[in-house]
Amino acid sequence: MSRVEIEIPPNPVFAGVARLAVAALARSAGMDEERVEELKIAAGEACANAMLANEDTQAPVMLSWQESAEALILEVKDRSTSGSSSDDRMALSVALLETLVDDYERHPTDDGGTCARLSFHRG
Amino acid sequence: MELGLDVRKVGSHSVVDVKGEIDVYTAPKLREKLIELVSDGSYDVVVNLEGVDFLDSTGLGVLVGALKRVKAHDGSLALVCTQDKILKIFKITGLTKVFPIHSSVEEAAGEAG
Repeated sequence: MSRVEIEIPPNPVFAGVARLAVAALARSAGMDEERVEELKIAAGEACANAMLANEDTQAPVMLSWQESAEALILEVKDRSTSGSSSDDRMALSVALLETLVDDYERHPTDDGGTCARLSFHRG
Repeated sequence: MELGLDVRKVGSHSVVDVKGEIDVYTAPKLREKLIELVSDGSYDVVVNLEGVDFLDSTGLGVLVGALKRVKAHDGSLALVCTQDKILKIFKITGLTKVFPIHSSVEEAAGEAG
C-alpha cells in the first residue's frame, strides 16, 4: 500500500493547495476526472473542518493519502477534542462529505484529536 | 487565490459577479461584500456564480447568512448558476429549495423583484 503524508498549517490560505495536492494524487492513481472533482469538494470540506478546529491551537493539519487495490483513502487529522462546531456550515459540510464519499467516518485519535477518514472505492 | 467581486446595478437589483473559488479562505470576503450591500440599503441582491470554479460549505453558509439579512428587510437573494458541478452542491445540501436559482442575471433580476 502506497502512502503519502502532507502537513499543512491551519491557515485557510492553504486550503486550495491541499485540494490541488489531493486531486493530483487521485489523478496519478487513475481516478477519473468526474470523481476527482467530487474528491476535491470532499477533501476541501475535511481540510476546512480541520483548519477551523485547529484555529485556536494553530496545530498543523495532517493529511494522509493511502492507495490500495480496493480503495483510495484520505485521512485528515486535527487536534480538536470537541470534534467540530455544530453550526449551519458544519451541517452542510457533513451533508457534502456523506454524499460524495463512499465511506466517511470521524473518530478520535490517540493523541487527543479527531480523524476524518474519506474512502473512495476503486472502479 | 483571489476572489473577484464586482457589483453592478440591473434595474432595482444589486448584482454581485463572483469570479474564482469560494472556500474557507475567500468566503469571508464575499460575506463582507454582501453585508456592505445590505448596510448600504441594497435588499434585492443577485449573486452571479457563473464565474465560480469551486464552492464549499463556508461559501454556502455565507449565502445563507446573506439570505437571512435581506429577508429581514423584506428583500430577496437570487442566484445565477448553470454549471452542473456547482448546482450539484446546492442539490446535495438541499439548498435548491432555499434559493431561487436562475440561468441568467436578467432572469434573476426580473423574477426576484
